[in-house]
Amino acid sequence: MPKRNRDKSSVQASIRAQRRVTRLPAMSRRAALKGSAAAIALPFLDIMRPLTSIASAAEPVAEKAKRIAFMYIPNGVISHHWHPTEGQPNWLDSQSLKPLEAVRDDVVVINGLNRVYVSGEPHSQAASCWMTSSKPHDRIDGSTAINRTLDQVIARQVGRATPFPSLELSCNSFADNMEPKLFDAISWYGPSHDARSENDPHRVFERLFGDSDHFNRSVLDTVLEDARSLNKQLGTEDRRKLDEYMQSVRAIETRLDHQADSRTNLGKIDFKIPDPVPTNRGEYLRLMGDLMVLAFRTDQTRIVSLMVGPERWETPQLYDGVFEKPVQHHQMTHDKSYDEEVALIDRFHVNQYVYLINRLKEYQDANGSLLDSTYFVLGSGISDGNEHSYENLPMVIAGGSAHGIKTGRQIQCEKDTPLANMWLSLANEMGVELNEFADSNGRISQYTD
Amino acid sequence: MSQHPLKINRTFLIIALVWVTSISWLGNSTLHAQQVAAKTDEFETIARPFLNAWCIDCHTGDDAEAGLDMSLFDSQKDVEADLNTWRSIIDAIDHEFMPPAEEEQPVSIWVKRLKGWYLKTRIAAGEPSWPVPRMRRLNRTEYENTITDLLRIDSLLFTNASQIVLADQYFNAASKKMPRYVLAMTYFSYRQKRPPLVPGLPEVPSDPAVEHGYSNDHEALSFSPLQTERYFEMANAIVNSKKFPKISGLWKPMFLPPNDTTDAQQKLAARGHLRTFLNRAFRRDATEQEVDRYANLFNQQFSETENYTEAMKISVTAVLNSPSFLFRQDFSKGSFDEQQVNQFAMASRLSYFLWASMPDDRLFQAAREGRLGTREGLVKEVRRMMNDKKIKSLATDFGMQWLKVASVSSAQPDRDLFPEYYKSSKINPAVSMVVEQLLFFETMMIEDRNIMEFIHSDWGYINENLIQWYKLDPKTILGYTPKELTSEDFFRVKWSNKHKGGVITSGATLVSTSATTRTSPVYRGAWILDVIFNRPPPAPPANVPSLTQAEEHSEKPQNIVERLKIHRQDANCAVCHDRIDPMGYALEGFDAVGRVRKQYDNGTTIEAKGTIFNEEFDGAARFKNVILRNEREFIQGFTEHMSKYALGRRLELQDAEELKKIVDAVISRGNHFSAVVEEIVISDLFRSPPIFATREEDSDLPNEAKISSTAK
Repeated sequence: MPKRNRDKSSVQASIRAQRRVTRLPAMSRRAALKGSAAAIALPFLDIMRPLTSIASAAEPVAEKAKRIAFMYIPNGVISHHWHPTEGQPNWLDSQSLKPLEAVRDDVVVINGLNRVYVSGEPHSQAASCWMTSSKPHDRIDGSTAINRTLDQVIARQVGRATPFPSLELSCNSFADNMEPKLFDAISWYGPSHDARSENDPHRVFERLFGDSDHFNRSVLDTVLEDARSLNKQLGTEDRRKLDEYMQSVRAIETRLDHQADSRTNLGKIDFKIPDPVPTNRGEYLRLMGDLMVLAFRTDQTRIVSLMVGPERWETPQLYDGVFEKPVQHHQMTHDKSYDEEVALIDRFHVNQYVYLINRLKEYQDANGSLLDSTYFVLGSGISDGNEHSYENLPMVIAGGSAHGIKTGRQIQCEKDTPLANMWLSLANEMGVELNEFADSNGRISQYTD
Repeated sequence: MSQHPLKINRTFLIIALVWVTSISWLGNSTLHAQQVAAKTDEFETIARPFLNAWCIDCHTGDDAEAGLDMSLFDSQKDVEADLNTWRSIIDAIDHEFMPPAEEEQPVSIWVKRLKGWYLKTRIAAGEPSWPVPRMRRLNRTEYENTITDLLRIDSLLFTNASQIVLADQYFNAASKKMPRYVLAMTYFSYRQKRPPLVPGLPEVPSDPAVEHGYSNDHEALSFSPLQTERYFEMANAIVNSKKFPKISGLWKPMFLPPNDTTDAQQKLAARGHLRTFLNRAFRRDATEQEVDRYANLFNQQFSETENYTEAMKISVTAVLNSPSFLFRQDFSKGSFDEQQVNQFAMASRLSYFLWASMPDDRLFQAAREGRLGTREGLVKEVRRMMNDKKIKSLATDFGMQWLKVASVSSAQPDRDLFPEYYKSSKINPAVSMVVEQLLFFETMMIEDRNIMEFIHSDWGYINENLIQWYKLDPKTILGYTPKELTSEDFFRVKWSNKHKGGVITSGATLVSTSATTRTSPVYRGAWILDVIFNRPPPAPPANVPSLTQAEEHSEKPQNIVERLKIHRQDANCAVCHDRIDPMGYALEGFDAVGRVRKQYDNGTTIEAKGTIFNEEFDGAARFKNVILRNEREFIQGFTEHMSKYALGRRLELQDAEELKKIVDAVISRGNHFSAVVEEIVISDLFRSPPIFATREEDSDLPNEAKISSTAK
């Protein structure tokens, strides 16, 4: 190799040499969670038993409950390796979606969804405006069009049934947040009010199932009373800030009410979470995903968003089973000569998605599998990461068959179909009556046809 | 939100005066003409001519540059409907990114007019004439420091990586001198060696980063259930921990019941303690109603538990979760009335700026006695506070965020190219580089040095680990005493050449602005523009070709500098990269891990030439010299950065005049570090906004004089 290009091509070569075909090993959760594990014994349903066998006992899952989960991939994908060839009978001929073969009857691939790019930083609006309910040019939050996102729109209606109206998870492994929140949050309650995500699996578990002794009802009452009297002295802007606080305190109250009702029926289980939490992407993602499944299973929530990582993240990450060394995903997306490697990362993410689809399928209740009652969305806010393209976004939906979704195929949307049409359709599917959402101009009707 | 009428008037007055001055400077106006002009459609008289002359050629139609079609702005109404786009347009023009350098440049008076018109448009659209931040919650550092001070805890309750150095006996602010030898126990080794003060204490959630701002920015800090839950957990864990009686100075006086007293007397005593505590926790005098509220909670819990201590713990937990504790209101509208800034609000502004914590007893006292209403009173407190060890926060919180030091820890130079970087965690150079930068900043601060030494200094701190890492010759370093290889023993030394010294050529900067396998002149240039001059380049727009695509059209590029030159042949890229890249070239004499290099790996000679401020440079030393000769550019950048931190908000057009006055004053005071701090504190930015209202009533003349002198 000529020496002069060492700074780039040598790395390229070494990555190529190290790369092997990604294959996710058949994985039991035990395997995924082993390590220097700390056992946490907590009241909980017997998770190793299929739900059917206890269906007659406790009734943690309401009849025909509808659930929705969003898994977000940052920095876009390599489009020409992602989208299957249009009109092909073998619709899963795409390189990056190959792993979906294993669950082909459970998924629908949607092509041709577009977003409007608004002049400004492309990565921040990719994430923060992915699910926004405001039109792209309504810059109601400084430079971006963030308003209440789809998951929170749904949570306000569906979320009332569960202790947590929604759950926000992230596999951002920064100890300190190093990206601004526009890059690091896909879920927003309203303008500049992000639903903070939890990136520590221990904390997620503790939050869902740990004791809540630290919440004293009299204390909650006192601080809310404080807030109400403070509120009278404030201007509009400050009231909005205070309202964030008041909402969050009320959320704690609601949760305590719910838990007082539901905790009595829970059994016991050891759920093992390695300490420290694995830093390689695969284990970390599957662990977080398992917690998502767990939250659904126990009906702690019906709405989850799972962010794979922040946009534009420069810290090198280890994609286990793909490369032997940590690589910089974002930086690679901006160098065409790494297309093949980036496509492997895309496929890696699809693999984790398939793992979680299978996890959701494992659990059955009287209404079918957990997957049947869950719309499980996989997508990204941009398509081509190199050019920050906002056209033909990646979009896969799994599950939902109990609610009439016809899976096992791909849909090609008409030219210039807004992503918001997809969101509107999903909001409607979830029982939220809306006629429009952001810049929607219709619905994606094909996927239930 | 109701606006004080005087304030609106004043801003209009400024604009009108700027306008008058501008016109008369052109020599074609009378006051009468000006009054007429203010009533005509200024979109037609200012914006449209400007756009036609300097913007519309490229920014029009479907293929408008950067997707920005300015022909869509056809009236004042169109502008009002999209003020945020205009914000970036004005920024780009103001920071001279637009029009592109090779195009005809707008006459400066027209830029001034356009800015005046834009500001006026925004205010007319309902924006406050003076930027008033919203109230905001305490950020992590502020929360940790405030809890520690409020509960009178004299040891390290919270430890987190952003504190960098935890055993810090070397830091003696009152001595005004940093020692020659420093044993700096880092966060990492501290955590290994010492158990946490309160076992099982959950971590305070970290705050989101703020692009071109600081983690106390009012726009970034919000509440979510996750955040709030954690506050309840923390308060509960601290107050109920077994250690609490030993570590809190409040335990004996406040948490233990008075001896030999009746229930009624105990309740009365508790009420008194709670009042004192609330005054401190809320950083102002609590209202009777508030005291009643918490006293009632105590009484209720006391009756239920029949335990004074338990009832007090629960009451204190409630205070620690009250919105008046968790929110900072010292800059928001509630902090002032029409007469003056509330003295307590001023105390909090000071303490959160300098200490990232609540006021201490003396500052409360000063506020209570009304001593924070004058410049003299403020300066006196600032000087006292700068001698307190708590001033360390200004280094760890402001300084390290300013220099973007945190990103060194996440940098991962390629393991094949730089295996030594990972040899041992004990001597990991990244940790040493962070400490090197911190000690430098702390020295600048407590020795009150000339801030131009941030650009270059003939001194610094170094340890054996870094000497080996940077491959320095110990003989050329004056004052160094060899020590064993650790990341913790640092010596104050004198450099004999200009490679080292200052923050730009420090390892922390060089490593955090490199890619894993090579240097990145683009990242380095952007770092300098942002950190040193506070002129961050705009983000690359969508649909730009990457470096490699441009590279593919060329023949055999040689090195990164040449590849970037090819990149800049594309006019789209050249617009910004013509300004960014040369700054980065200046540092090409340092490799991706911070070492001096003479040539690239392929044997070609390093090219570190460029031009800034119309002066040519070759290499880092001369680059630094050019900045030293243009000191105002850096002093302004530094002042703006510190102002953003002090105010907890981004800077707006309205701030420009005050900032200029601060910079002038700093220069006239010999660029001392303390001059920047003091001038910010006594400026109208920091004491805003009612001071304007009062002064305006005094007289119009000084304002007019001031404005005409700055408008040139």
